[in-house]
Amino acid sequence: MMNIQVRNVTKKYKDKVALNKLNFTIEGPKIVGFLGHNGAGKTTFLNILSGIIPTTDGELLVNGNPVFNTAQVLRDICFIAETGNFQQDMTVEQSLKANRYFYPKWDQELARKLLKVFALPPKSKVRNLSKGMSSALGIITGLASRAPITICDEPYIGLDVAARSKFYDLLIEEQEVQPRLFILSTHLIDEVSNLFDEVLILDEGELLLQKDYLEWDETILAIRGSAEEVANVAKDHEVIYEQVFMNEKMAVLYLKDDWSNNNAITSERVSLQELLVYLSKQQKARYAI
Amino acid sequence: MKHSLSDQKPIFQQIRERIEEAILDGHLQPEDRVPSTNEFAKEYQINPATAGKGVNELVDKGVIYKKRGVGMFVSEGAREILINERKESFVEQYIKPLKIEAKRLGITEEDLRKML
Repeated sequence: MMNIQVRNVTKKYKDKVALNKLNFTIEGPKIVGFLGHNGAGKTTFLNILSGIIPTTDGELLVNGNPVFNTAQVLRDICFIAETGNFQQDMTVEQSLKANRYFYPKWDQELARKLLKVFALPPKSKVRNLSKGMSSALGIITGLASRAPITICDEPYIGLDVAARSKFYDLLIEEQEVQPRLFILSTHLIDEVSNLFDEVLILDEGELLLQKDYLEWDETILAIRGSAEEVANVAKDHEVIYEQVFMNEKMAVLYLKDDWSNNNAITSERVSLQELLVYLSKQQKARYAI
Repeated sequence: MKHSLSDQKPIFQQIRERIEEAILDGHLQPEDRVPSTNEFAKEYQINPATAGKGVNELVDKGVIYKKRGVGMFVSEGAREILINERKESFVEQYIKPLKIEAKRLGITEEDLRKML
């Protein structure tokens, strides 16, 4: 079972509201893109999901059980944070071996194989690893944990393009061999977005959008034309963003109705990356499934 | 064949078009095996479900067919189906833009014929 239920989750730090009444459900196996700008609340949420910090209000259930201070739930969750995942004095090898005590499904054979794939020196101390190498160690840990819920916060900081490409290949292979719920939080989304099954976008502590990524192109669309034409088409949908440039109006739409191609107006695809930029320029409504 | 995918078009559509063009150009012949959705996923680093969406459109059109437990194969009349379909969209996709640009530049229909 890979089921995450988020019910009215709020997190406050003194007067600052980091997460504001989050409500959603994620069910695996799938690859989920957990997105948003810096400071949107992604890391705070992932820390709650991993049982590291409690909520201020509301509850987060994993497979029906509260996650905070619940050992049997936490064994099913592997959280690779952006930094500070490993004991600085341990060697890479020791660090990987220690994981068998945390994750019941730890696959040491896979870990050994991945060490070679990412060319990590097993005898090297964690503190001596470069940024990219320590990201690779995080990825190896996450994959070899075989945890039903595997969460990576900015997994490939410092990794070069070849290593990132290996990571994507491994994700696809793992989902084929032993499907699980991967939650990837990142702001480098152009490359990885094609792997997503579902995306969630967080903004200022609130859920802006949750969407089955397979339906993306039937949901988010940009149209161009004269102000009247655009307004005429846009009235049946929700406008996420609009602008006028050289007397041409452009509107990014969240489609409410079926989109018929008979519309005598130019339409174009909006990538996930582009949508995030538009959202940062104009935030009004909140979009859930 | 171009390898990298563009983000200007839906990914599933690009997968469908890659298969179509492989058939039209003769790289894939009738009864040839079409890669599985997992093979497409690995080749293009995309979600297998996305690849499946593109592949299934071709199954629906009868361009490829599934053999249970074996894989997917190019149908006998695949090329003809695709040619007919693309001929229909030829005017829309190629002739109309050509005429629009010609009009913009003041090229008469007669001049256009000569160029062709």
